[in-house]
Amino acid sequence: MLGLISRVQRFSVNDGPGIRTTVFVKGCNLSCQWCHNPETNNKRPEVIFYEQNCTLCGKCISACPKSLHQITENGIKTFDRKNCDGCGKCVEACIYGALELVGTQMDSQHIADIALKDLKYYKNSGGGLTISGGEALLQKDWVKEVFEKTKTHGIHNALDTAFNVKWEEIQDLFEVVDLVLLDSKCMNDEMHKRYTGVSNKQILENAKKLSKLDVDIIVRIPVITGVNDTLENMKETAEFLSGFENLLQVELLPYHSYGIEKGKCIGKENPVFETPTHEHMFHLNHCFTEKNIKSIVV
Amino acid sequence: MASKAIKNKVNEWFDKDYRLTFYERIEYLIESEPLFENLSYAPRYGKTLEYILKRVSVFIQPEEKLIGSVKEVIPTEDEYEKGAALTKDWWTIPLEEIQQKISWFYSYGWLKRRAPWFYSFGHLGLLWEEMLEKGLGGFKQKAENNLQNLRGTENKEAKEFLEGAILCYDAMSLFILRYADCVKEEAEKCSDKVRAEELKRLEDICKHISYHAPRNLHEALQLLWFITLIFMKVAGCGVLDYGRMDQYLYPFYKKDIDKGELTKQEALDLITEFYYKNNEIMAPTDHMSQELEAVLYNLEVAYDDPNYIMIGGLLEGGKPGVNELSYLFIEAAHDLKLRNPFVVVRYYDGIEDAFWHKVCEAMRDNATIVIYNDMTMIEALQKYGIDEKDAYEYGFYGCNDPHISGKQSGLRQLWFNLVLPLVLALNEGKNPLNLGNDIDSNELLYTLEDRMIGLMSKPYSGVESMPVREMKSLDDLLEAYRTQVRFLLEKYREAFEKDFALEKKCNNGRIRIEDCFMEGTIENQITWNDGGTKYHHIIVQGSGLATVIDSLAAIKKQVFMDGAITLEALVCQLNSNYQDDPELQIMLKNKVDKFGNDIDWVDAFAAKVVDIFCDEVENVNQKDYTYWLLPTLSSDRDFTSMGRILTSTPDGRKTGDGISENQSPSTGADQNGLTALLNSVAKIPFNRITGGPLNIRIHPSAVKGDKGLEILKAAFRTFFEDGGLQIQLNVVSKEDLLEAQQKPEKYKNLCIRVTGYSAYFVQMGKKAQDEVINRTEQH
Repeated sequence: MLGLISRVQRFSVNDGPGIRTTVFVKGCNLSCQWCHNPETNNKRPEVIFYEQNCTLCGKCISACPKSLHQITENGIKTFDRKNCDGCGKCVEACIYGALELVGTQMDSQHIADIALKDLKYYKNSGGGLTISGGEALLQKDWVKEVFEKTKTHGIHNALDTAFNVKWEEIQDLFEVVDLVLLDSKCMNDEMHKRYTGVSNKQILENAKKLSKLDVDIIVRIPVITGVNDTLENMKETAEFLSGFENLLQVELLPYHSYGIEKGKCIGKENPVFETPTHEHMFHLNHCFTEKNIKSIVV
Repeated sequence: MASKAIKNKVNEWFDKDYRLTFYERIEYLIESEPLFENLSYAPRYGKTLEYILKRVSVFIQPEEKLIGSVKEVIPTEDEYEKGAALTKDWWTIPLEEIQQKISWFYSYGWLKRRAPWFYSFGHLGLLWEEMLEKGLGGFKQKAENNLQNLRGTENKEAKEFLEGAILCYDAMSLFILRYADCVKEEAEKCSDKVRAEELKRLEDICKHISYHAPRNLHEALQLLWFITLIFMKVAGCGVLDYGRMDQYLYPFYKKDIDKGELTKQEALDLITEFYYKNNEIMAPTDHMSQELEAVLYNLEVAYDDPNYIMIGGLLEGGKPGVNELSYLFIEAAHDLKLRNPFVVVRYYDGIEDAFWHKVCEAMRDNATIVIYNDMTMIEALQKYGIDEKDAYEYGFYGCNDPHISGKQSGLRQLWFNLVLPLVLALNEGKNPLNLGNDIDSNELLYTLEDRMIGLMSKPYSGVESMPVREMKSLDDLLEAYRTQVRFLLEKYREAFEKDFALEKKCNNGRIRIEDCFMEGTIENQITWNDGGTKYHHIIVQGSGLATVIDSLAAIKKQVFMDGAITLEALVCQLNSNYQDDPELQIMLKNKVDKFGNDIDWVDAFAAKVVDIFCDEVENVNQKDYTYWLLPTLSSDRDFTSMGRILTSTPDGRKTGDGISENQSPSTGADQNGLTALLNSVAKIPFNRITGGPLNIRIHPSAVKGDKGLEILKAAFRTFFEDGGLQIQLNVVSKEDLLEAQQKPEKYKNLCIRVTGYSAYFVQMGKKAQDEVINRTEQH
């Protein structure tokens, strides 16, 4: 089965324990304003344009079957991104590294093969494979196929998800999942809707169901100033999680603005938030530790 | 000295004036020149050493437990002129005459500080174990016995060789006894009772070790330090392979601990002080940045020579070698984080986790520690004529040059440019840059200067091989490549044997201080470079491997798979530096898969190229040759200069540009993460390769905290389990390196593993700094 992938990152050390390979699928059903992987949001292949690398050589113009690349009379390179179906011909033609295709169809076996290349590193470090996104669960059947294949080699499988999907559609996946990296944005549903575009009801219900399964959970909270960085929100989250017996830890990730530049390259303008201070992160962290929940600032 | 006092001294060292010179050496060398000029070489050498050691200042510094220093001054203008003029007087002679006086040398910079009648090559190891078992007296007796045996024979030169050696032993003993007198005087003056006791003990130590074998760890380290000081600062014999210190010092340590005469902490303090003393004598600069004022100015010998210590590793028969002392040697290196000594941890499968933890933790903090893999090294060394028993004892006597301490000649090198034979194979053996006017035409191929230094610095041509228009497959090209590699190595061997015959003639009767402590030199009365020792090696430093791999991959893809261009047309573009098709160069650079990304079809060329290289090295090793060639993958920092003799290559590298460094992928080519890089490199057949560094730079965030350390431990362990050879690490971000260039005062102690030696970043030249910055950052 084919899945739509944005990229594969090897020697990934921030998406679960040990040395991992992280696969970022493409397509998400949330639109978080602080998204740090904006290129994974859209469900179709996209062309990233790195303007600084462009020499106006014009190779993309002749390569594009729909003539979407142009150079204006003033020597400005334009790209009609709306009508692009991501065939990738221009990317193939570009030799200067100014164009990159994000979104390739990959067979589950291919991904498993890539993951297997670092098998010894996983074994020695307690690492494994993480499928992240975008929203991995939008391609659940494909994810399951990959995990089934890697499981037979004893690879530790981690799923990174925002969990905004129907439980019935995904519940059979957890047979082959060892760890869920569960993204938690904020407990206040109004705020959740405002900043991610969706309600958190289904997410929280799924989380509760997950807490009853034989699978480890790490809850990851991107801390965004003015959105979810209140003691109240963290206390409420801690309260919500306090019954989770399979919760390994909570990870608080301070907001960073790396996503802004990436967004620009695919024609997205996201707002910039403030990065919370170390002191503040420490205070927020305390909301979990005081409830005897292991928690770290990443 | 306690760790805190040592750290204060280290901080003072960072502000050391680079003009500080051990001027007494120069002064007494000048004075002694006419005194012994009528003597034969060996007695003159011994007398010169004696003259200097009798006169140089001896003094001790507060709190020291290990004593022995040289007096450094800033020379007056007159003094400086006088010192600098010596080099001109000695060496402003035709190269042919230099060859007769010294046979070969490392670089002009190295040559300029050495007197023709009193020089050492350094880059070697001694019989450390025997030194500690028998003391100076034991060696002297051996020489005297040999001399006795020569009585009644006519062998004047052999007798003089031994007489020279005996003069050297006596001079060293005398020097140590001068220290005994010095501490005695100090003790008498000392009002602090504790210190006075310490000084009295030191007096006893000096008296004892001036002739006898050391009795405990303190005495052992003190003797090693005196020898080091004399070797490096007086004889100019630096870059020592200290060998397996944790092994040969262990019996002393164990005995002292068992008797309750030493605590672990005291042992650690002694080791720490020993490390510090190795740094105290260094000039604050980086010898490989030849453009630096501090390098140009320098009048010293061995002013920037790191010494190498082996820790851990397998013992003969494959038993694990890590012991309690191994931990202390790592702890001291971690605590100080200095450039010297250069600690090499020898990995083996099953190495204990607690030790591995300490090693990786120290490396993460940028201590000067690198790792070599016993599982490949011991096997590889035996492929080149080293006995199994000796192979277990390997160490290093230069950046990444393997060595069997005390049994092997000092370092001789050939920088073998692996890219040159590729260029030749693409051009029927002709070098397109060889215009004939900058190479002396001679039947030996290589110029005398290149032969003496071990370089291939001119655009040499090769031997006729298959024209590219006739090549039907990559195998044809590889065959032509082999033909060129063989030719270059056979020509080298031919030239070497001719030079060596002359060398032996000229060298007859010569001695150097190191001959006093090597196996076979005293017994055979022959200096080490001419057959005295058991092993004699020329380290053939294969350079530019990734450039060759990437070039072959590009040809395979573009020419033989895609048919996008004919090989003939490609070569035409390469030889004109892509003049007619500049975009071809960009395409080859950016659009073709490169080594370092764990792509099997590309990486497969690593084994093909290395096998050819090693086969052809073996081809020129024959039983009746004294010197054998040992292949390594090591360019040191010379990868930029090596590119100057090369036209463009099919990997998108332009004419004259540098080639890939050491074992690394081409600059910036590895874009698939650390594990992909390590997997690629581990595909090199290291069981045939005897050395060479892999430079890794990791962003601090990737290895922070307990988790980060476990990741580092696992990554390195896996690489070595997979057959990787070496790792040297810098954990520093690009931003910090850039800031260090702007605000050097803030980064005085930022210590960088360069290529088998360390340097302080802010003391390196701009070019060397930029090379570190351009290394791929893993995160």
